[in-house]
Amino acid sequence: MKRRGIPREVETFIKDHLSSVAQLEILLLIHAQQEAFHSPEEVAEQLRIEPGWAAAEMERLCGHGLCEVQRDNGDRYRFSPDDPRHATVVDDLATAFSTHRVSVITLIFSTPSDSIGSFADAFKLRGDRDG
Amino acid sequence: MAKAVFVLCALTSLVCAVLLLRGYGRSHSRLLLWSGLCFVGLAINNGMLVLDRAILTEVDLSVWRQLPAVAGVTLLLYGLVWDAD
Amino acid sequence: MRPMLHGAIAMGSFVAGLFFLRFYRVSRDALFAFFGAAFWLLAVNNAALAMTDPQAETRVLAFYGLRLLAFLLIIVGIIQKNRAPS
Repeated sequence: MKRRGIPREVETFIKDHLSSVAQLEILLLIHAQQEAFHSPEEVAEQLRIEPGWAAAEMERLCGHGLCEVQRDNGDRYRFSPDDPRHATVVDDLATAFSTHRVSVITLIFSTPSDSIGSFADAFKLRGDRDG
Repeated sequence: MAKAVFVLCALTSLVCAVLLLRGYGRSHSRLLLWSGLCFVGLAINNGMLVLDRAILTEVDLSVWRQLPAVAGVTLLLYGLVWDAD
Repeated sequence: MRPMLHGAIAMGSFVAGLFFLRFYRVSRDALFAFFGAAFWLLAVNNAALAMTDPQAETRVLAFYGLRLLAFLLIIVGIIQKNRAPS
């Protein structure tokens, strides 16, 4: 089921795990090159952001169980979701970002503590979680 | 006829209350707590209307049966003002 | 005492309806339109009840009919929420 052209699971994923566009772009970058480990400096250079910021966001992604970190001689990160379903969702997210960029970005900025949305979702009888 | 109406309204209120309180359990969004309690109050109000009409015809519940509704609406307003972002 | 209580419920329901209307405008979720309309009907119902005798609430069709309409709107709102594609 799609809303604004974005599958529901992707929307839920965005709301649960992504709070900035930088985070999204970092995630998609390490997802696109899944076999390799990436250093914050590499990521920062590709995305033209501060390495410190990249490192912090990548740590945050690890905290969400989306990547793993190798700590020797500096931290390197690789896309590695704890939940195998997330691999598919991030594939879909990458597609969605390429086809519906604005909608994805809008979703990132929708208020996390959305009481109005929670109120409406409470009346979904199917028990759709994380609406 | 009136009894059936109040029963339906009481059941509807109960359903809303359950859905909202269940939603509060999941999302911890306090608006759902207050609005859920509001519908509990409305359910009691409708329930008392059934009682008043059908069973306790000697006792006048006309003031008492409004109190849960007043309390419910008050809680709802509180939630709407403070907890609806 | 009783008219005051009905008046309080009427005013409270009216304001709640205003909030639901605002939520509808923000979210464009029809559920809020239904809730707003329902609470406004309850506001009218209670305003009228404030001005009549207590028996009217359970005996006069117009009064419990309005209440029925309000709750039917809520039921319809919930149903359409679960049928709509999004």
